[in-house]
This record gives sequence, C-alpha cells and structure tokens, in this order.
Amino acid sequence: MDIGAKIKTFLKEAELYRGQGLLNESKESYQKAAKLIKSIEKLKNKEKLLAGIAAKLKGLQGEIEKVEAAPDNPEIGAESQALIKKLFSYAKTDDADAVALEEAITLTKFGQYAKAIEDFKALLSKESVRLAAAKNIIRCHIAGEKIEDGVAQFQEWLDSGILSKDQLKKLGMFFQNIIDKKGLDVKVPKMATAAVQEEEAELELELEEAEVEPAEEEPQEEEEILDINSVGISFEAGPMKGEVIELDVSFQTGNVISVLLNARDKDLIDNLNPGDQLNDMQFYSPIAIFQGTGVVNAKTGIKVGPRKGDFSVDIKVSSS
Amino acid sequence: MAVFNARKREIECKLVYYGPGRCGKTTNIESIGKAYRKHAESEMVSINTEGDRTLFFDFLPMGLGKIKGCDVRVQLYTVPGQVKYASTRKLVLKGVDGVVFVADSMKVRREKNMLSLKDLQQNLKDYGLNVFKIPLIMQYNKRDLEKEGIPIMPIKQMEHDLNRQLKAPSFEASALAGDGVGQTLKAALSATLKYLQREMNWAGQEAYAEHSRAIRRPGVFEPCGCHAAAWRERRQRRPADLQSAYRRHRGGFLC
Repeated sequence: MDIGAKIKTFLKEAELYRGQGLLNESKESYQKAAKLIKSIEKLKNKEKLLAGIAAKLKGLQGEIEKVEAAPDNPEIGAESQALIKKLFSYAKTDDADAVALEEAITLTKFGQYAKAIEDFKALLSKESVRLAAAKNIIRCHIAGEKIEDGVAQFQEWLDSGILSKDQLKKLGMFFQNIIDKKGLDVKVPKMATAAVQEEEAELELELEEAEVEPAEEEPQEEEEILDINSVGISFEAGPMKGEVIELDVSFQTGNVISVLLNARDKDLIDNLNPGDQLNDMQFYSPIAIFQGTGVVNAKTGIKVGPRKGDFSVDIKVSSS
Repeated sequence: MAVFNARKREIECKLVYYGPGRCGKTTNIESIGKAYRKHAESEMVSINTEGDRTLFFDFLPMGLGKIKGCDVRVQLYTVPGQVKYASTRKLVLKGVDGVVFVADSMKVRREKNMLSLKDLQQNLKDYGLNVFKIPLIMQYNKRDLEKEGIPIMPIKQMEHDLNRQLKAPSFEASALAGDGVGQTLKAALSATLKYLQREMNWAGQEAYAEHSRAIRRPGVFEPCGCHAAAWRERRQRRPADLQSAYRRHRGGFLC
C-alpha cells in the first residue's frame, strides 16, 4: 500500500471509530495519519491537512475529557431510584422497616447518597433499624466525601436525643474509626475512641467498595497463545529466589491466564504482585511445553465461595 | 437468582447482556424491544446514560407466556461496559441466571473483549458462580462493519480468543440492523430455562401439580409410581381406559 493510501485508510478508520464512539481509537488513527503526513517532505496542502487533523484531534480530546469527567454515580430521577430499589433489593424479610432499610442501602450501592440519606432519616424513628440507619447516614456522607456534613449530623444527634447514649457511643466510635482509617484530621464531637478495634467488625456495613482496575492501554500483541493447562514460574528475586513453583491454570482468555494461590502460600502471594515481570516461565499445554515470560496483571482476594481467602492472580503471557 | 412461585406457577429469571464498552449491548436490547414488542411488558428503561453510553443499566421485562404450564417472565439487563463502572456492573450482575456476552468484532477492541470476559468471570466467581456452568451465549457483534471498511476479526479468531475453553453457543450479529439478535436471545433463553429446569425442577413441580389434579379426576389420566396404589385400584374398574391414559401420562410427565 502506498503512503497516500495508508493516510487515507487511517483517516477513514478514524472517522468510522469516532462514529462508533471509540474516541481513543479514533485519536490513535488520526495521530498515525498525522505522523505519516509529516514524514512526506513535498506534499501538497501538507499544512492544511495537518491543521485539519489537529482540529479533529482537538474536538476528540474534548469529547474524551467529557466522558472521563462523567461522574461515577450521578444522582438520577425519583422514578429511576424507585426502580433500582425494586430491582436490586434482596431483603429476606416481610418486616417493612427492614425492607425499607435494605432499599435505602441499595440506593447507596448505586451512589444515590442524597436520596438514601433522606430514606435513612425517615427510618431513624424506627427503633429496630435506628442504629443501622444512622450508621448508613454517616457512611453516605463519607462516601460522598462530605465528612463535615457527617460531623454536623452527628452533633445534631448528640443534641437531639433521638439516639440513646449507647447508640451514640457506638456510632461515634464507628465514625471516628472510618475517619482515622482515611487518615483525616477530624474529630467526631464528644466521642470515646477506646475499643475501636473491637467494635470494628461488628459495625462494618454491607456497602461494597469495588476496586476498579485501571484500563490496560498497552499495545496489543497479535500472537497466538495455546491453551495452557499449567505454568512453572522460576523466581529471580525475593524470598523465593531460585525456587520453581508450578500452578494450575484456572481460566484463560487470550493471552491472560489466571492461577489460584492458596491462602497458606503466603510467600508466594507476597511474591506475585501487579506489575511484576516474570522472566522465566514454562507453559504446559496439551500439545507443547514452551518457555516464555509474563507480567502479573492483577491479584484479587477471593471473598466468597469454597476458595474464600485464596487469591486469584492474572498473568499476561508472552511466549518466546 | 430466578424466582419460582409454585402457587402462582410463575417463574421469573434474569438475563444479563455483558461486554466491553460500546460493543452494542444496549442496541441489542433496543432491537429486542422493537422486534418482540408483544412480549415486552413495558418499554425499555435506560437508567441514566451519558450521551449513548450506559452509566447504570438498561432494563427490559418480557413475558414469554406459558412454558410447561408456568408463566415465564424474563428480565433483560445490560451492564455499563466502561471500566470505571466496575461496581455498578457487578451490582447489576447479582442474581443473574444467564449471560449473553456481546463481543465487539472490531480488531481494535480485541483486548477489551478479553478483559471484559475476564471481568465477567471474576464477578461471577465473587457471587459464587462459575463461568463454565452458568448459561452463557457468545455474540460476535458488528459483523456489518466489514462492509464499511473497518478491520474486523475473523470468527475463528474470536472463537479462539474468547470461546475455546467456554465452548458456549455463539452467534454472529449486527445488532444495529437487528441481525442475529433474536437468535442470540432465543439461545440464551433456551439455555437459561433448561438450566433452571434442572436446578429448580420447576417443570417437574408443574408436572406433579398436573398429576395431583388428575388423580382427583379419575379417567382424565392416571399417575405412575407415586400414586400407584390408587391407580391399581381404579385399573380394576376401568382397565382399558386407564391403561391408555397411563401410557399418555408416562409419555408426557416427569413424576
């Protein structure tokens, strides 16, 4: 393909990707086209072409920034919030207050903090769920990064007498513990900080804080990787230096394999961390054994099921 | 998790369309909403989208009518595909009974497909589900883009990348044109209902209910082993009729 045709192809692809909403891919194609144009010394309209591409790139960048700046959990309309409560609350009780509490917790999971606080506040008058509702109000303020509002709310409860002394004590410790964990220099009014650790487990709420892994933006490799049944890893550093361990592959998508590490293998778990380069690996497939390298992509603790406590490690494989 | 109401003889299950951002999950559901309008219990609901990017989920409830004597209802969901909405994606997946993995056929999205499938596997695992066991259908979407000159992956490569271990039923599709959408949905429903039938034995329960009604109406048809004594007694009275009914009964029910 001559260079002119290549440029045209890149420009066409860029437009098509943009039409598909694939903004980064479109940007890459424009950049490739611009690079090629710059490499041609005597090209008619060179500056005009580059200016046109620059304008397109500027527009694309604006769109990319808009998408990236979109809030993670924007507040949505009342109808949608009601639907979320209906579809995603799994209360296993007929108790209306417990169901309402569960529904408000569901809203917090979807980041609807303002409405959730409103619903939790309505539950403060119900003795059976009062403390849980209060704790969740605090959690909503923290999750919404409004610690000061949480402190003000706590002060209001101290003054109002709506919560018992015991409830206030538990709540104060719960709140201070979260603040301390976040490393913030904020003191919850009139609270005792003793026995925080003991209370911690009991006061832990059901809110899930999913970890978002950053998107991999590495250039893709087109190499074919065979089905891998197990891998051998030779460690070059750390406490396991010189050792070779063999692990069964639990899952494979393309060139990314997952292996499970038993919670007891602490050294091994400590030795495999995201970003680690594994320069000496053996891969065992049904039809061949081959050498290669890998990079640890992710390490995730298993929270439920029969392998609870164990770790799943993803390794991106490169054969050699 | 599917809900089976034995009293009302209703079963409600949840099918989730999963896949990387911009792969066409919402377009699939939109297309289903249009093509199967009479089955849709309401219009598709899109909970907050930024432009045409799903931030929360899309939802389409459908009624499939009676299957083995039960009213079957299915809730179709899409998840937000973008990486940053991982927690919402996981929440939407909770209680799933069947999954359609929508893969983007464009070459530039190869890695994203793999990462999304891996994400699905991990999220299912976190809920105690196994990607190899849950009803799963693969859809290779946007096949029509080849005509527009966009480089797309051959099916063989997509099968190799995503489906060589899972060996899930797979379909080519162009969701925007509606091609392959119905096939994918039917396969997903079929796999999910078969799975639920095995897991919950709801067809068996229904057969038992029919069976119990029948024993109260002698001469309609007769039961087998579990009501054998009653059957034997009646056989003495009307042997020819009842034997014929028994054969029909054995041919059609699971008790």
